[in-house]
Amino acid sequence: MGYDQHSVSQWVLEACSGNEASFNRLMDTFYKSIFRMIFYRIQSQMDAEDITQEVFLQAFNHLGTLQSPDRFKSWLFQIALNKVRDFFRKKRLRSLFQALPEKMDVEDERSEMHHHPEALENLEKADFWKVVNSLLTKLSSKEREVFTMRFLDHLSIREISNVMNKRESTIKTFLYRAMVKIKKDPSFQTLMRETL
Amino acid sequence: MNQKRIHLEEDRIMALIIDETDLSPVEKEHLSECADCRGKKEKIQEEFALLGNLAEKFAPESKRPVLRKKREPRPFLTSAFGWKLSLASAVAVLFTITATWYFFKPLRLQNSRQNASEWTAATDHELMSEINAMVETAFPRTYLYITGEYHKGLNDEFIMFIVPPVNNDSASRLFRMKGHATC
Ligand SMILES: [Zn+2]
Repeated sequence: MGYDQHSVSQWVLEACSGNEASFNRLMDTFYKSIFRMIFYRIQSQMDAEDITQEVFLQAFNHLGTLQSPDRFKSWLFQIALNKVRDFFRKKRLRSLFQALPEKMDVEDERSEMHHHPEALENLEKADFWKVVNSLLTKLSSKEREVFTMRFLDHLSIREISNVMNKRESTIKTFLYRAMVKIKKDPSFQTLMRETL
Repeated sequence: MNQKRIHLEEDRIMALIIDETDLSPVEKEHLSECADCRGKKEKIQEEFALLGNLAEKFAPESKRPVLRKKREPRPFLTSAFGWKLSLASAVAVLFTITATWYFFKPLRLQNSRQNASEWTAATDHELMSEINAMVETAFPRTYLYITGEYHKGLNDEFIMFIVPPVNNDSASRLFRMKGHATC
């Protein structure tokens, strides 16, 4: 990612004292990664867009509660993770009152594949997310979260430990277990064989 | 020397990818000398990195323009100074209320009896005004014949018998005899 930690901390301090241009710089720097991070977890573009906006609004209004500007990225991911949890909580509640469960975008893409010119790419995309989802469901919730943060969100061990409020040694243990399970999974090996 | 020839297990290589300091000195030495193990490590690293790159490739781009909103004034209670000041104010108000309560307690007790008798007197007065108004604007006796409510026996003498005047009742007489006062 094209930013250095010193600039981020500086923008955070300036944004804290009401400089909107600095907050916009922070937003430009992290918008894509926060959007993707949310999409990876909920796999719906529209909902991911809504939640990303909510994350930045919350960050904007509560920037003063951030204890250290160096932790901005972890703090932002923490807000995003809480928003994702809220989303699933509401979704679960909604599903109690609905006869048919909502389909995910990935599933929709599979069913509409034949009507699009980029059908092949959509098929690849749908298959990829199907494999990823099946791999992640074989992990415990903690292993899944740590693994996703490390390899999909590209967070460092320290950043993950800040986001999850857990010791780095604990994060390493979860990550190790997740990597061993995924590496040994036949669908991961097939995906790698076909892609590499 | 034998240890150096044993290649690192896949699990050990994954631990190494997470944290290089996790390796024992012998394992470190082996890795620095063994191209096979270094190759394995790079391949595994590449595979996990590829998973992340594919996820990025297959994730959509956000089509919505980045929302830029004017900053709302921060709620006072959420600022670090704000909540401390609010807590101090709350404690001060609570202290004042408690102090006032204890200071005026004897006075309040003294007043409570007086207030009760004043309230009784006021309600009595109100009731008597209503009764007097009813007596003053009472229907003429003829109307009682029309409504059928007139009864020969319900004259003043009969009422005096049923409800004797307060000053002549037996309870008051008994109290006076024993030397009690009603108030
Ligand atoms: Zn080796």
